[in-house]
Amino acid sequence: MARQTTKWIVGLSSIALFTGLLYVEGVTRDQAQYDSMGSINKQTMNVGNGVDPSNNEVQQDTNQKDSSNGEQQDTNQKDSSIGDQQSGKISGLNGDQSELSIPSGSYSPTTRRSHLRTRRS
Amino acid sequence: MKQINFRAMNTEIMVQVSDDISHDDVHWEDLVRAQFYQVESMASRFIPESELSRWNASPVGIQFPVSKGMFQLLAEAWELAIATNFKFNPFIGSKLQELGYDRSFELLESVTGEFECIPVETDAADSVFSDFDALILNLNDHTVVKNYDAKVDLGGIGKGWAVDRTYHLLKDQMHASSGAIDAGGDMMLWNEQTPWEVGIQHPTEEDQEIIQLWVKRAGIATSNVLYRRWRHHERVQHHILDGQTFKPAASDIVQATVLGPTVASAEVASKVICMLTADEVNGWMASHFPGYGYVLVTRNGEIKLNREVRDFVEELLW
Repeated sequence: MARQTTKWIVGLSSIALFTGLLYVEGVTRDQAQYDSMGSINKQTMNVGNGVDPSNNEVQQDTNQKDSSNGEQQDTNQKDSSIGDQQSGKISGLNGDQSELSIPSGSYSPTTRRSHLRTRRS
Repeated sequence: MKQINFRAMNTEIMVQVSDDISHDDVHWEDLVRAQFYQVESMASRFIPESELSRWNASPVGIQFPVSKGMFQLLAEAWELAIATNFKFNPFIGSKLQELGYDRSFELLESVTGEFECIPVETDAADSVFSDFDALILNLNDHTVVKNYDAKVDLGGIGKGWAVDRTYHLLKDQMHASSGAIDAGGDMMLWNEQTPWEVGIQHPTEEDQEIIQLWVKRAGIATSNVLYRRWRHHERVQHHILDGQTFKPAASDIVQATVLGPTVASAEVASKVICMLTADEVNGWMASHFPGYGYVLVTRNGEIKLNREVRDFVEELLW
């Protein structure tokens, strides 16, 4: 009888333990799922709340891109300056100054012959 | 484009005109050559039988009949002399001869190389030429009277005037829509479509250019105090004499290129610039030749150009 009782106790304990384990696992899973969902929500919130910052960051990125645009602009300016060198400097005569001075050394005489050429006379 | 090259007035002449030139049965090339030969035979002081030489040899004060062309050239020269307060003065012929410039420049002992300053004698008693009546032009009978005892030199302005006349022949009478008349570097250019590329020659290095211009229409002339130099009585001389004092110009400017409506006026303006200091040029040009462009080079190699240059060029490069 005592032995029979022990079997029942062990059996029930095992069931209880198994059930407990299942419960704990379920809770853990739920919690994990919750946590996970919370985390997702948190991420969502973070995303939501982070719209501005992230957008700011994006904006910053954009600004950085702007900076890179600036670099691009710099490049363009360099291109312009190259263009100036290549296509002429008549814009130098568009200012308020009535006379433009080009110091010696700031220009490079060339042996390339233009179609027409003035002559010392 | 059509092109001819020939030699006249001791220089190489190159003329290019567009194919749309109308010339009927007349050869435009012959007419162009005739323009230059006519001016040379008329206005050279080195040709004894030229109209100018005969007038120079005539006494002061007499009415001397001249051809229509000679009258027009003298009238333009005198008008420019007055416009420059006689800094440009046709009556420098005797002084040039006295300084040794008594034959074509190619026959002189030319001086090249380093910038050599020409000492200018200063004399407090120097008088400044201001005689408006030194030359009287009678339009009615095409006679001229010189009231000043000196020979007339029309060298530079004569060449420019010949270019201007040829320009009117080709553009206005023969309707060439574009063209270039280059008389030894003094030139008239016109082209409403594609600008002409013109290099400004280095003051001393003949094979180099200091600036390139893209010109649609302009008369262009250059004067340089370093090129036409010769030795006379052991002294270096040059051909740019201040018409007010009859002495060689003493300036910090060694070369001036002027862009204007006519080559003759550009030639005169470029010559006078070489008599001024670099600091004076901008104001002087604005008051005496408004609207003209200039590109000058100083003795220390600085280039100066005025804002008016942009009115004649599409682009420039240095």
